[in-house]
Amino acid sequence: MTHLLQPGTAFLQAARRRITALLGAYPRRPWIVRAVSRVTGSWVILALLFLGFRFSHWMVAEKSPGIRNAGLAFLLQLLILAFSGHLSGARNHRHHAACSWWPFPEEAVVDLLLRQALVRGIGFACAGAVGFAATASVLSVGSRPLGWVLQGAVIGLWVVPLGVLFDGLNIRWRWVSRYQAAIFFSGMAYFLVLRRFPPLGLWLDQHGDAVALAMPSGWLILPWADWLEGRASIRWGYLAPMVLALLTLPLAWRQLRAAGRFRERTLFLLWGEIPENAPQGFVDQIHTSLAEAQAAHLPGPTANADAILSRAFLVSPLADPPGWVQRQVWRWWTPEQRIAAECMVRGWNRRGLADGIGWASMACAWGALLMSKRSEESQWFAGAVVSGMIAIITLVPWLSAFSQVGVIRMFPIRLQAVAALRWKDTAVRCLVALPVLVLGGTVAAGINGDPLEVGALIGFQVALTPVVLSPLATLYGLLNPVRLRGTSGAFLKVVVAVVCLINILSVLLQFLPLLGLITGTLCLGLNAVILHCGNRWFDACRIDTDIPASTMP
Amino acid sequence: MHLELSRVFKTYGRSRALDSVSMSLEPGQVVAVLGANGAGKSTLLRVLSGLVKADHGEVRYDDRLFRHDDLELRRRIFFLPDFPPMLDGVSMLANLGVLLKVYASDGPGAPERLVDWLQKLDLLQLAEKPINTLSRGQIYKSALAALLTIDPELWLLDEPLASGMDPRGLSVLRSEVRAAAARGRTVVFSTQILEAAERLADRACVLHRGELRLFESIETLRVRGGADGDPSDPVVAALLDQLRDP
Repeated sequence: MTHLLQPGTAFLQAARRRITALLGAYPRRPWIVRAVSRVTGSWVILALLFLGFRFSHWMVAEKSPGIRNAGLAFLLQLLILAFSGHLSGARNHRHHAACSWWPFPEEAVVDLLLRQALVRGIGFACAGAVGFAATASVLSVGSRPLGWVLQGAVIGLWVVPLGVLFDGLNIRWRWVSRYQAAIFFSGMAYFLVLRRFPPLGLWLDQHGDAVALAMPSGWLILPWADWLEGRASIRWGYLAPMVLALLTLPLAWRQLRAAGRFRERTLFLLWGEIPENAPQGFVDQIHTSLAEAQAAHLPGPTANADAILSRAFLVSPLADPPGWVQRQVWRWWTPEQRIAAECMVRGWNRRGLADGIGWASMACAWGALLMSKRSEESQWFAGAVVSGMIAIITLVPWLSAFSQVGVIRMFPIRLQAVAALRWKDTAVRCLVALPVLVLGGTVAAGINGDPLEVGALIGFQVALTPVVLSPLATLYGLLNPVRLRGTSGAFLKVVVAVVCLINILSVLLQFLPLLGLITGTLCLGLNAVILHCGNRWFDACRIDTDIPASTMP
Repeated sequence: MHLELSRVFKTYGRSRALDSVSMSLEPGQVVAVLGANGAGKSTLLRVLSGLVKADHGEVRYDDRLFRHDDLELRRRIFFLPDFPPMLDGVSMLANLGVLLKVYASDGPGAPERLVDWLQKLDLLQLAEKPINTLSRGQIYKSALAALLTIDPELWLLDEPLASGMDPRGLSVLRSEVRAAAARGRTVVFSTQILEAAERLADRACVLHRGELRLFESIETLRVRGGADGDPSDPVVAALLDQLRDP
């Protein structure tokens, strides 16, 4: 379809100039500073910065080069994953689709969007790099400070091109993204757990470099480590794949642009948002192409009538799923919940389950660190990380799913059905992750010389936590798309933050078996109360909001 | 369906959308809700649909107090807003399927009725198109097709005559509103076009800043709003004058 835009080449160039004018002196301003300040305003980057500090501390304190290299490779991989997901999010920018209303051709809009995404991504990486570099320099005063500073900065900055590369892979092979989190998180989470096991720790001490080599990020870390150690090494050859990766970056970037362009082009064509000053040939070609596309891809009235009369459209697309777990979930839902699911759940997402296992494995790793006898500080830190992580993974998936609440509340569907649907979804995810968590907790307890049942109990409690937090997540998800009377969004966020904090603290205390059970029970009760009040609260909110014109093109 | 509102108040912040509105509707009536922008027309329809909860007052259907979680009652009411919200990213047919299921109207004969309405509304060829690729008028017509297939006891239509529908859609709407009333259905629609109200409705409900200023038969409305009429309420007369000749 690229030929469509050829007649308007001069027009496109003019539009690009208009975009540049709109952006003003964008490139000449200290845009990185602005981008950094913008992204550091988000709690995600703050959490990342905190992780960076902590990882840097751990890496500097780690005496074993093998383990350190493997850990650094893991850290870099984690950041790449985060950035890659960030850019993917930018690519699938539904909210940015509104840009198509601007009198710009969609190619230019895509360029603009990707550029914004890149700027944000660079800011994102810079914030991480600053964190690593600052920490490394503080921690290594008197001992190769420059090297550590550089290493921290490089780790942060390398996230950008590698993130773009991974994103390109995801565009080319969609299945990569489905299992990406599980692959990266679970693999290295096991590494973090197993390194505490003495024989394996010894093995890692000797062969940690091989583990690092297993990850693309390790190809960068290993030569860098050699350089820091002042060793001549043939491992510079590992950079060759990185160079190749860099060479393919333009290709990946092109694919990314093409994917975004297709989306924008479709919207652009179908919405008929053709600039007034576009050449007539260009306009005619768009209309012709649209008519041809419709004729080629849409069934005719007779076929549609047959399809309706066959009642196929009344069968839920979620019915009779292929997987065993999904089939059990489908049976578990009530008829009302199945209709709600049809509105809110877009297909069975195996990635969710895979991610659940990955996140559970990561929690196991941090649970092991929590129970390690290194220091009280590391225990508290690990506990906080586990708790925060669980809170995040519990809350985040609902935010997007509940975007359909605006539609659902128009239907005669009870909010309780929506809440129950989400609770069941959480319970299934946790059930899937439960064996991994219990096993991980038991193994970790065994490694640390603690009673095995304590480890198993902790694993069970970690699995239980999202289920406990589910009502809160549901409440937040319901409140998110609506606005309270007489209150601002900031007020709502503060309320949610306070409740989250209470929950996280209670989760943290769960790691102390007896007190944890007590606080866990209290937390469960608290959330039940919040849910009960929340539904009434939502009713109060609901009455004051406008119906979103979500489908208005 | 007998409908009764008693002393319904509704405020949005400091502004009063509905101020002690009371009215009673009998089955088979077609009621036009008239008023300027911000008069409270949409709020009234939303209160009637349960989408908006009144601050004070009661809404009763067949002497049954209306509650948002009364699904049985809500399935007898269909609210069609001026921008019908649809599930984004799926086809028009998938949206219609969900609507039929939600309103428990997916029984025998439903597909045949749906095909019939889609044909009449000139939508059948678009059934498999993603809903977000349709125009506003097409989206409204597809929601109207769902309403006609479900055939609820109470039709609540927000600005149906300014919904972007083509003449064919408007023609189907007009004829089906009268046919529905003949079958005993109650139809309440908001509009700012006085002539349309006079042609389509039995009764008129005139709102002004949330207050119900007039709730009379359409004949009375003609007298009160006529050029040579004798308006006892100058506000209503001025408003009707505006609506007649904006």
